[in-house]
Amino acid sequence: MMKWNTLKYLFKEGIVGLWKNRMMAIASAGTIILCLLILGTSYSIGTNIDFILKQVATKFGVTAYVNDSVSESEMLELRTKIENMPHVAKVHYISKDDAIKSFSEDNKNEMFDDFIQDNPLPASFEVIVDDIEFQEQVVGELTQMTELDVRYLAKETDIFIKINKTIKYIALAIIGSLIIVGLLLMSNTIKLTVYIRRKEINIMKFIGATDWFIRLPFLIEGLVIGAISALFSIMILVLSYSYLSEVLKTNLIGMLNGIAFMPAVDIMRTLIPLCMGIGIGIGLIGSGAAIRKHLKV
Amino acid sequence: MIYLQNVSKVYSNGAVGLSNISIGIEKGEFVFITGNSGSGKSTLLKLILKEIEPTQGKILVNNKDVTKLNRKQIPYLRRDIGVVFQDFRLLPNKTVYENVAFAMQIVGATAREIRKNVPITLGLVGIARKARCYPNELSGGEQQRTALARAIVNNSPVLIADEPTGNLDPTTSWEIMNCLQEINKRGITIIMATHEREIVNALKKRVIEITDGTISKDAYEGGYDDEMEYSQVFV
Repeated sequence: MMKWNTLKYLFKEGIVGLWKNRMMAIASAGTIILCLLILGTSYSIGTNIDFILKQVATKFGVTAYVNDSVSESEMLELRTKIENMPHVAKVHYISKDDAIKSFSEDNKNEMFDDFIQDNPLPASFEVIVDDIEFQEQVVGELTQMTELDVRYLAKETDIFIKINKTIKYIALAIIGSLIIVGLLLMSNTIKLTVYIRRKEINIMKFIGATDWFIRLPFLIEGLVIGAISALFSIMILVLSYSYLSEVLKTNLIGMLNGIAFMPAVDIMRTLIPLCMGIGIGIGLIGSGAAIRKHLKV
Repeated sequence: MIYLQNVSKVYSNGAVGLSNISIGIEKGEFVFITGNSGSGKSTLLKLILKEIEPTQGKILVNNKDVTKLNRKQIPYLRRDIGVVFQDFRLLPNKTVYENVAFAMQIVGATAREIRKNVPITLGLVGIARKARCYPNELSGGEQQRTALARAIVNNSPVLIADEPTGNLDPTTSWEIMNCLQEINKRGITIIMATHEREIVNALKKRVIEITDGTISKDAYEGGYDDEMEYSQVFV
């Protein structure tokens, strides 16, 4: 075990080394920042597409019309039954009165008065599933209930599911390859740093320094570079995300039709720890891996 | 102090570094290792520092069997052996003081010990005035003095010098040799590989000459060109 004052010394060495080799440190930090920015951007776009698609999906509800023969109490029972089905997120009940009310409002005529006594419209349940992929399954179960007449957009749902899946895979592939590219770039940059300083490492070995004594300052350098780069990237991402979503919101308000972007706070809740983790991880792993080869003297 | 017993080294490309040599060096000795380039001088020093492994034989340093040490134990072996090289090998980012203090940091010395021992050692090798200079601000002789200070600051019992005067002019070389003799007087065993006849002839120390991987001469109070005075020390 290392003594406390040795640890203190090595920590200081790491910080001093960072300053004395600041050009390389800046180069490494630049690489990490670039990677984290691309990563953060694709993550933001990916989660927003997912977020928006989920909102669109809620408009793809299943409508189940209820037979007029069903009584009030049976209606309540039916509702609980539907609510307890797997993958049902929300059930919205529209009574006969609600139906005629909204129908006459939509059509702007006086039909409401004519039909109020003898309402031809059935009561219905708007069933919203938690994941559009399970819509088919929920529809199947609803159809089995004889009191219900189920209507939904079968074709549209199918296409939607396909689009949704494709986008998810593409986003995953982009993020995955970016992490790999980032690690490669980073380890190359740090390899260069270590290569420049291999003589130093060699000298340390000759005067009897243990591997950890040599490694620790480099790891601390890597850690600090990673953390600083992560902080920078997070700052840039937060500022540009809030700015861009604000601009898009004010300019596209008509087109969006009530669909919102993910709030900055929600997206940063995952993005900040993600950037910190990847930044520090790349810094530590990169410098650790780069120095390995040179320790064998 | 240092014993080699029937040591051979054949490199992986088939080149013979040393073939079946035995040497004994006692505590406090001053030994010159001479020989042409490629004769096996460097192989010998590298074996003692466990930079390379012998193909055959046993090597004892300070009563420790070097061949049996694992990778983790190598740093502790090297702390018992101070080394100076022809090309000085100082850390370019550190001042003279920091370079010497660094060797003490490695062995876990306290700040107090460092503040006390580094100036004393710098004074001993005559470089105290340049303590705050960086290596690139020093002459070759001054750099080698710094390297010497670094090699002895931890009171290692052995000092290995690999052509320490190889890059220095004759006057400076003599200053370094005087320094080495001072260090030797304090009981530190010195093994110095060299090409320089004048120095070897003038100092009248033990001379081990290596030719083609074998010991061709081992003479006490010898000179570079002495007649064969072979006196093998058996362990």
